[in-house]
Amino acid sequence: MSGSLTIVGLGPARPEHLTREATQMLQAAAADPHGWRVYGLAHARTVARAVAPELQIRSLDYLYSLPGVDRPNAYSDLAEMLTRRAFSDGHHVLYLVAGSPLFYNDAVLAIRRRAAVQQQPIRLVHGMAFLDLVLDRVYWTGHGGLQLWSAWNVAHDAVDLDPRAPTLLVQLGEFGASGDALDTHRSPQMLGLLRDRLLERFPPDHPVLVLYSSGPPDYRSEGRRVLLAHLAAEPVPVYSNLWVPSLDGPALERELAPPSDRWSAEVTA
Amino acid sequence: MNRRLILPPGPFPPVDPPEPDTEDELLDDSFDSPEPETEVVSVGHTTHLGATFRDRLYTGHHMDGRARTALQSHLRQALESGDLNRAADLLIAWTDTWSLSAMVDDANEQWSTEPDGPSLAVLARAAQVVGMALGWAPAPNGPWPWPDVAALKAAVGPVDPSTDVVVRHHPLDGADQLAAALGLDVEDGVPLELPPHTIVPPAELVSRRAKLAASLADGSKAAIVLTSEPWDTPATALARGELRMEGAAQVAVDRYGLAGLLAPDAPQWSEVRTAAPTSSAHDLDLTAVLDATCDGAMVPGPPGRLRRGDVDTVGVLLWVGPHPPVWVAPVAVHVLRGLNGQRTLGQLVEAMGAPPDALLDVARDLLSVGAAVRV
Repeated sequence: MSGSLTIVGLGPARPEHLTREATQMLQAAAADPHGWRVYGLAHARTVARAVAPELQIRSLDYLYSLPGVDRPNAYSDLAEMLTRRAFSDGHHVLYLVAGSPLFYNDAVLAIRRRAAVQQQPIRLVHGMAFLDLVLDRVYWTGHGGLQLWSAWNVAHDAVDLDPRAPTLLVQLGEFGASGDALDTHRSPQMLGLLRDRLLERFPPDHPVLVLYSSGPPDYRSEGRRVLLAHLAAEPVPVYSNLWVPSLDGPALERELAPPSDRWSAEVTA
Repeated sequence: MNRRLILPPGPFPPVDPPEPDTEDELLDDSFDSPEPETEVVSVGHTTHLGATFRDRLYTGHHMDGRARTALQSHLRQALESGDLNRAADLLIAWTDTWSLSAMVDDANEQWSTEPDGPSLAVLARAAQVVGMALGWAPAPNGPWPWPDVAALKAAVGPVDPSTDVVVRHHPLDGADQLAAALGLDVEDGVPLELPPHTIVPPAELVSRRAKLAASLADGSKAAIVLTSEPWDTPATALARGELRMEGAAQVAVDRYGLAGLLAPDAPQWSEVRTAAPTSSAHDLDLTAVLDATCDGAMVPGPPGRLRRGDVDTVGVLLWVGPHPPVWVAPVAVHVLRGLNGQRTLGQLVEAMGAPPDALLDVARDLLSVGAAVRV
């Protein structure tokens, strides 16, 4: 069989975030619907169709709603299915993912491992990571390094943060160990756990920044600055992140930066 | 020897056989639930039970007559026995008889001439409603109700095992079940003209998943037909998910049985109805005259509350047309029933003794959901 498996990162939000390589890949697949089998989740489909409207994309959304199937099981099955389709059945498979394939994507990780074990090559088309949009509203100097953790790891897995370096806690909306998304109204539960863990290392008046997206269609980078003691006072959108400045680092890293994505609307207004 | 060939009930063959030269009457005495129609689909020496039952039960006349009455009776019994989940199902079926009464005849005609997705969706919902009304369990494949033995025998008439035989056109078309019910032999006929598919026992679904999915992905098969519903396990759910994603007709087959192979794009019942056309409520005052465009009923419900164990009286607006029911406060039904296309809303206010502003609000709501029009 002479199939192939290509994982395409589509960037974090808007079609403008697509790389030229990803755009060309999508348009080539749209032009040859019998030559490619394309798979993706809802957001990836929306972004891909913005640059390749005719692209036929098989929906993987069902994996998130199967009774009794948790996220790790679903990701493992997805990896098995796509590698089988490519390397056993001989199809040319495109797997579309939001953001960068290499950031917090368990399914991609499983695919890469499975392909490596099978000694099959896969191709990665890199995409812009969500971190670029998240860091839009902070001043990260880089001088003290950066700790990057899932909020779940800190809240539940006893991860010990180094207060001398700034920390970005991602996926505040991640609810379960299996990755089930938390809804907005239940987020104070996670925020409360995070606050209590962080209070072990930081004072109550330590400033933290909640960073999130305005959502479709603009996906503007939004943020709000709160004191750690008040972190759980308000719910946050599902896909929110938390910036925790270091204890003794640059004061600049404690500030909420103004948005850098508003100029186009103002200029064209 | 005068042989008679008998075809099982269900959606096949989709195209009606030619009209008989002479009309016989079915033996309706023991076929007591549905009212008899005139046509008996017995052509030459072949009795098409599929067409017979479709033409007798999947009709607007049956839907707004005996089916609705039977469902109402079952609903009352379910409520009295405290089986509120069943009551909710029956209530939904009962409300659907309004839409079906307007849609099922056309769907049957369409299925009998040129099968398509929408007609299959309507017939399948009619099949579920018929099954619930008559107490018939689903057939071996799909939602099609399997008539009880009395109904089968009534439809077929006297049988003679030396001359009558059941013809099997597909392993899952119900011929074996029919032959057992009638005490007749089975013989194979010309296979149904269906897109390529694979028949699989549910116990083999997971172990054969990779090859089955490959056959769907390369297009050599349109769907995998399971001989019965598999156990609900994570592995089964994942396998079925992949098949549905890859098979051109898999979703339709899982939903409608073999008939889905003939209409891979068949929508769901919920997708074949749309909200009723609305009217503007701008400048509505007490001089306006409105007429109702639908029926209104007071029922225990709505279904979601019944399932939560909460029985209350609500109103429901029901269209004899392709529009889903709308659940409303009981007062809306009272006002709807007062609309007759002749008296003004002011006169209705007096007749009902209602506050004018409140009645105007209800009237605006009725216009906004298409339950009323201005005259």
